Amino acid sequence: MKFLLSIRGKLLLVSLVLLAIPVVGYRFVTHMEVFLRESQEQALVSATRAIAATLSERPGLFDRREATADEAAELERRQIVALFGSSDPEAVATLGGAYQPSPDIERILELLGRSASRIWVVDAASRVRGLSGSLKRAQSPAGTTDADSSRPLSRALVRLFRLPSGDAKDDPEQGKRAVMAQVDRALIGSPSAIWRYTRDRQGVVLSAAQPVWSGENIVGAVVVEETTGAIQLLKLEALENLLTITLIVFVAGFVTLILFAWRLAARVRKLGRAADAAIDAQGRIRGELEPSDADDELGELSRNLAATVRRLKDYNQHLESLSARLSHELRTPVAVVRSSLDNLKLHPVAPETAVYIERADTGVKRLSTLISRLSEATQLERFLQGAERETFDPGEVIAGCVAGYRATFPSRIFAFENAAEGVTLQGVPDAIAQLLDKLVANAIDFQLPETPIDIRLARAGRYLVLSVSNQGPPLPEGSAATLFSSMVSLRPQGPARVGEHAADAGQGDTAVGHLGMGLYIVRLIAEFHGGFPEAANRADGRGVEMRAWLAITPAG
Amino acid sequence: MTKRVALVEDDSAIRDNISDALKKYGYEVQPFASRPEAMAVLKTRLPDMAIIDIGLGAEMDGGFTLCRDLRALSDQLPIIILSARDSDFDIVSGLRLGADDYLTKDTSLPHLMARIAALFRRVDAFGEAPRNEEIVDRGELRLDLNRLTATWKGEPVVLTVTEFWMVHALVKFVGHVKNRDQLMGEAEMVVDDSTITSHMKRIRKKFIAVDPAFDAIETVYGMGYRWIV
Repeated sequence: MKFLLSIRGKLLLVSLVLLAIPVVGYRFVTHMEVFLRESQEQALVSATRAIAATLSERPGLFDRREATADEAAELERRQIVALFGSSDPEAVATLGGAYQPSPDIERILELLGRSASRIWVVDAASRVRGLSGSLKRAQSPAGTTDADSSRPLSRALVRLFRLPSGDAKDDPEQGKRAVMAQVDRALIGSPSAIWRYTRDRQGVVLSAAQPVWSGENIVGAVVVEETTGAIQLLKLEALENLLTITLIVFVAGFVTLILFAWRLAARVRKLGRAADAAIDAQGRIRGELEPSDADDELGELSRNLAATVRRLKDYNQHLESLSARLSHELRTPVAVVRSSLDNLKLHPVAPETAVYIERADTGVKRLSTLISRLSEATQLERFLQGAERETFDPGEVIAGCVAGYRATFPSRIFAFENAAEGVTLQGVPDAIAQLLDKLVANAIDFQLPETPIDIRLARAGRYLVLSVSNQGPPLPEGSAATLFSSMVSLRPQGPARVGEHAADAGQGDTAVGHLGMGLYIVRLIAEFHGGFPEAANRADGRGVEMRAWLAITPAG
Repeated sequence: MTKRVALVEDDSAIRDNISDALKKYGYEVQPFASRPEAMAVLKTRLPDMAIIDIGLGAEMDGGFTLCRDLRALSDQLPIIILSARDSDFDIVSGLRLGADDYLTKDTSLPHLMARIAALFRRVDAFGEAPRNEEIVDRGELRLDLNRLTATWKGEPVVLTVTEFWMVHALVKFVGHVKNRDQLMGEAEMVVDDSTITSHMKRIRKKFIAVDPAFDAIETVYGMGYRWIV
């Protein structure tokens, strides 16, 4: 099912259109056959008429006296004639008593005879007065029939197309009646042409009957029979050729389409993979997309995608450096305000004025802390670029940090569990400490009072997982992917919360507000250590767990 | 004699504010807005101290160039870089080009004045005999609080003023862990965590340059640093 939905599968389905070729061909061949049969019928009817006319001109050929024989004998002869007429061309049917040839008629028939047909003349008393030719000969006019029918393809075709048209009678009894009726009709002056199957149903026989006149009376009838073997053979051959050509065209078209589809699908898949690789799960541009130099639409699509990724990357870089540039630009005006305030303080001022100076001073200090925080990520990136990796025990670093937190926040509970004793990391221990700082600061902000913050180190495959979890409100729906982006903060804004956290004096993070840089820094450090950050609601549903995955053996 | 301080700063408001403060503290001020202007005057007559901003108008790194040129003119001239940039890269560049101290513009004016005074004190103390009570000895380390100089195993270790006060904070109570806030308080500076880290790294390197076996500064992760003997 999946295959059918792919481009390859769809092109495969589309290529079934090629099947229309044999269908159209078959219809053409059938039409051709009908046309040939009609002309054969007409030719036969005219031949019959000519023979009948010839015989009519010689009234002496039919002996009038003998026509008055007894009824029973005549009926029997009629049966025999019909049986003979409807018998197989191959069968050895004899006319017996019904065959009372007249040498004159036979001679005329010999003269007028057609090679591939059987002609017989019946007089009014159902006696066969002349017989010429055989249907047997018509069976193999080209001389190649036997060889042809031995080919498996031909045999299959014969089986497939044995019933070319519906108007031929197929019941042997019916065939006999049809012959009888035809002869009877001719004897009452009505010419006819009928199609019927041979008894073995291997061929179709066309027979035409014409009355023979002697003055005003009908003295007999001429029946000319022909098999359509030649047409059948022609048709078989045409069908065989058609099938062979169709098969070749079909296979060639199919293979071409498959190859084309294969290549197309491979290119699309390659492009898809490249596009997928260019952007990571957090929507961050990881690398450039190699534009294709193909001239077709796919090449253009690839170039467009590459251009889009490049623009997106530029824009992302612009956004990420925005905070750093912003902080740099803001520093100078803040310095102006600050130095002005400092100068003002050197002058004697009235106490009521001093209060405002003090407030302005506090505000400027907060502002400048905010500004340094803005550039923290850029600073960190530069720091990491220049940092030397060393091998260290993360458990030791984290234990030290936890001891520090316990000292800094005596009112809070920190639980530390190290399930990865003896694992060493290659990286910058200070950065890991900074990463933990940010995770813990985040946990503190969302923690419910009187609940512990659980810090855990565990090994998962080739990663060391540092997780910090707290009890508190769950993550907003769908936020996990963007949480670690620059300048994303999902904190509820409001004076109540700010006031609550301001109680944790000394922690600039909580006292001066948030810029959404903390978890971005977590990501930078985790990525530097060959890992990634992760945020999820706790399994027990009572809070949030932030995890930093760090590669134990970093690549390169 | 009044000390003459050259102030090179492109922002007029900050320049005027610092000039006013310097004057109030009793210094003579030579304010300049650009590098060529400052260089033209200063090369004929060197000031007693230069305070330089890095970005000078159109010259992104004009301050660095000026610092290098002034250092070429005199080994003794105390130079302070005062910049809006606070990246490690800029600090290292500034100190490498010969600046004696690097302060960000977040620094308050009283703090700036204190640093200027400390730097002058160090320069002035070079000629005088050291007074014993101003010397701190910790094993192989000797700190001269008057001259603000340090020696390790008798070899001088060239520290900036900031670095000197950080080392002093560490060795005041040997074995005690000093956290970042304490170190910043001692050094009277406003920098973020990663800058403290890089300061400590640089201090270690300076000692290691003198003595490859140096390992007296220990990092206590998450808490700070301590001096062990």
